[in-house]
Amino acid sequence: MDCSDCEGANSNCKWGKYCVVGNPANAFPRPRFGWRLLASAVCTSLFAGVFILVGIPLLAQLLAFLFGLDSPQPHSFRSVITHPDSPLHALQGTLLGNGVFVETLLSSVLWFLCLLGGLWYFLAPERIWLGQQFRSNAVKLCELQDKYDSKTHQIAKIHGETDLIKSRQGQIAIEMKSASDYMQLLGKQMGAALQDSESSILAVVSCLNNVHEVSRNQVTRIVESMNNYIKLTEAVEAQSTHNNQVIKVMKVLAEQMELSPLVDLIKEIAKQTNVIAINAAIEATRAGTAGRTFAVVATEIQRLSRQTTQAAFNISETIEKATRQAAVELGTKETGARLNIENLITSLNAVEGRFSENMAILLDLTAAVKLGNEKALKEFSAAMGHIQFQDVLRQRVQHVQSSMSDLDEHFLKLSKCLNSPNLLEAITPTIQGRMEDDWAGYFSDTQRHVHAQFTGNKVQDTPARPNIELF
Amino acid sequence: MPKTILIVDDSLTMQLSLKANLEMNGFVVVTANDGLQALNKLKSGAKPDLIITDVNMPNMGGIAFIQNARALPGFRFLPILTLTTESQAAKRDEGKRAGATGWLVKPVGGADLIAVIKKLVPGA
Repeated sequence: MDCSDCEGANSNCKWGKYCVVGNPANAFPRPRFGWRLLASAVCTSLFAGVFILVGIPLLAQLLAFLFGLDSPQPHSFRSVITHPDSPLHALQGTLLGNGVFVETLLSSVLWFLCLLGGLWYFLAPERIWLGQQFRSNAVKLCELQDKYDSKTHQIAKIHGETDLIKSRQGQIAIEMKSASDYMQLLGKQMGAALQDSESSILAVVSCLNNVHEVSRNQVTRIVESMNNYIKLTEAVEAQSTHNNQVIKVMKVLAEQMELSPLVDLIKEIAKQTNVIAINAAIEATRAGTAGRTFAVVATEIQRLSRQTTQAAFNISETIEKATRQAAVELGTKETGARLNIENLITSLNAVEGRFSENMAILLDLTAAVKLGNEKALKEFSAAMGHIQFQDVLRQRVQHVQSSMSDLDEHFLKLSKCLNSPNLLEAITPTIQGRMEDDWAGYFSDTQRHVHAQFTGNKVQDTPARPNIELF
Repeated sequence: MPKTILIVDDSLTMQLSLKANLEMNGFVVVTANDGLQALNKLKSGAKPDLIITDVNMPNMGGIAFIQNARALPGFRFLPILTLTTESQAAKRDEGKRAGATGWLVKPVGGADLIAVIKKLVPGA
């Protein structure tokens, strides 16, 4: 036992001589506990005897009288003494009369008081000791109660914090799940964008392949045309060379032919001159001696005429020889300008025919090349159209990039607000909210379809709009 | 006389692809990187026969550019086509209210684009 008042050192301690801390002997002071207990037991027995024999029946009667158990109605406390039916009143008349009853009653009361006094005095140390124990235990109990309350409060606080942590964990788990879903959705958006871009790339490649095919065909046509023209050029050149030769010979022939009349003229002149010479000789002879000089002149003229005739003959021979040679050179035994010209015309016609033929081929080629160019232009235009996918892809990737940036910011905010009392309010909008906000930011039907497919939402069926609308 | 077309787009790829396609088909092409640059070119005296503009651009978007261009003298009836990735009806209606002549959603085939331009530009 302990006493926080003075620990036995203070003489003014309220426990006084009964203090058991300073004097442990006071715990069980003299006389011995047994004698004191015996004294208390005797007093108690006496009182108990009186009480049992007299008091209990009396008490029972009194209670019966008060509550009216044996009468139609209950009685008041005052009537316990005055009422003729009251047990006390009856008791007065039964045992030894009013005085004996009063004495008995008073004696009992006195014995009871003495008992109480005896108990109070004899068992005072035990009483005090018990009181101390009681108070000490009460203090301990209070302390324990305080500790218990404190611990209970702490536990409650911990429970509260645990609940809060569980709640936050739940919210974080929801956010993590939403983040996983969001990342999957963004992945699907990227996949769809890449798929569209792949098909556009393939379309561009196809267009460029077609352009390459057309170009190759153009090159082939041009090469064939060039070969044809080379051959034609060679043939024309050869024919031209031959024709030039023919023309040269024909020129010579023509010149020669032009000379022939001249030769005839010369012959004629020579003949006439000879006639004149003969006439002159005849006249000279007629003239006699006066005509001798004239005869000489006539003779000379005759000689000149013979020379001229001979020269003309020689020229004619030479011309004929040259003509024969030219005819041989022209490749025909029958010399004649008409045949050679006909051959020349025939060859020129042949050249013209070949040119016409090649002109038709050239026209076909030109048309084919033009057609090929138009086709190539069309394919190239289509390729340029398909390349627009790059801009569409760029914007879709930018949208995903923006979403991921928002997600990153969201997680930073989440990490800073983990200890916030209301986590959801601190991180609003939540990831689920952001996913729903993304719907409003989509610019293409493909994005909306991917989102709807992923989330399971039904897309409102709207009529497909053409991608070209003029207002 | 070849017709002139002004292309307004912040994407270099779009500018180059449209320019190549249109020049191959005999048009003269002028480019601008955003609505503000295009508007300054118009104010400086450029007189295109047709304008093709994107919608989502920095500095000045396509819708705002169309509204400002329509307010300039001499450009009230100029054909202005929007070539954009936006397929929402609300955006399309906004463009129509701003004064766009047509709404084209990317990607548009090269031949289709040329056909639309020839329909809008007489003599092209």
